Amino acid sequence: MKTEHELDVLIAGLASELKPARDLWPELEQRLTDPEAMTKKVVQLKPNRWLSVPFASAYVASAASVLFAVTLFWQPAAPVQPQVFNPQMLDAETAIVYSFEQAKAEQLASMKTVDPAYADWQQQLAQWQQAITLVQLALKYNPNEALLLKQLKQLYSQQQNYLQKVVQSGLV
Amino acid sequence: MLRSECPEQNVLPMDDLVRLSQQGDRVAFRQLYQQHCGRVYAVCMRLLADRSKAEDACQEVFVKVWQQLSVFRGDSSFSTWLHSIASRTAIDLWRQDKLLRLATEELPEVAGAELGQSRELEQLILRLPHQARAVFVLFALEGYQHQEIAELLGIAEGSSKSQYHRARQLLREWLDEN
Repeated sequence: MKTEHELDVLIAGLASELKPARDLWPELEQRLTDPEAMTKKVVQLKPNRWLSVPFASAYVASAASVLFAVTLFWQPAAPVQPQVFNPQMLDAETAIVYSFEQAKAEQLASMKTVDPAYADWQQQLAQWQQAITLVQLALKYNPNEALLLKQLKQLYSQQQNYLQKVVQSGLV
Repeated sequence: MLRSECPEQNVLPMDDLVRLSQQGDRVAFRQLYQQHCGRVYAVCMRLLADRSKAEDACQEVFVKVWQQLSVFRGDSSFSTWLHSIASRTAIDLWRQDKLLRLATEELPEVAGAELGQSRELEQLILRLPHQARAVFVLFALEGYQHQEIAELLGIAEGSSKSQYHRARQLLREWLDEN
C-alpha cells in the first residue's frame, strides 16, 4: 500500500485549476443578461402536450431504439458539421448548442486515427444528434423550458464524452 | 495536470477589472471569469464529481459574483472573496446532490480529459464516497480546517476527521490496485 508520505506527494502534485471541457462563457453571459432564463418557463406559443417534456423524453427513447436498428444497415455519412454561431440568437438554447458544437468541432479536428472498437462512431454520433434535434423541436414549442434545456445539455454531454473516448482511442 | 487554458487577455490590473465590472462592464467581467474559471471549476468538479453539474455550478458561482459585486468592498482580496462564494455554492449544490442521489441512486457522470496529468488520483477522488470526498477536497485541497468543514457540511468535527482518514485510506488502497 502507498505510504502516507507517497500519498501526500501525489496530493501536492494536483493542480489548483482544472479546465472545463467546453467554453462556459456564452451560457454564462446569457445568464448575466437574464439570470432567470435557465429556470423560468416562458411560453410563447400555446403549449402542445405532444411536445411536452414527458413526450419529448419518449420521443428520444423511441428514436434511439429505431435508430439503433436502422444504423445496423446504415453506411457512414459525412462527418457531423458544427452549426454556425449567430450572435443575434444567443438565447439559452443557442448558448448551449454553440458551446457544445464548438467543443465538438475541436474534438473532431483533433481526431487522427480511430480504434476499430469505435468503427461505428459516426452512427453513434448521429443517434445522439437525432435525439438532440427532437429536444430542440420540443424547445420551439416550450422555449426556455428548464427540463428540456437540461436534457439538451445531457445529450450533448453524453455525445461529448463518447467522442472524447473515440479521440483518445486513436492516441494510444 | 492541465492548467486552466482559459484565454487570458488581461492588460488591466485585477483591481481595475473588479472596479470596471462593478460598473457593469461585461468585457472586464469576462476577463475576471477567464482568470478564475479554472480554480472555481476545480472545486466544483471535485466536490460534485460530475462534469455537467460542475459546469452548472461554475456558471452559478459567476452569476452570484456578478450580482454581488456591488457589495464587494475590498476588505479581502477579490480572489479570496470569489473563492469563498465558489466553495459555498459548490457545497450547497453538493448538499442538494446528496439528497437527490439518495432518492435516485444515479451514478455520476465522471469527467474525462479535463482531469489532466494527475488523472489517476483525480479519478480516484471522484470515486470516493460522497461525504468523504467533500471532506477530503475541502481539507486537503482547499485548505479548510476540520472545524470549518464541520460547520459547512453540518456534521460533527470528529466526523470530519474520521471521513478524512477514511478517504486517505481508500485512496491509498485504490492507488495500489491500479
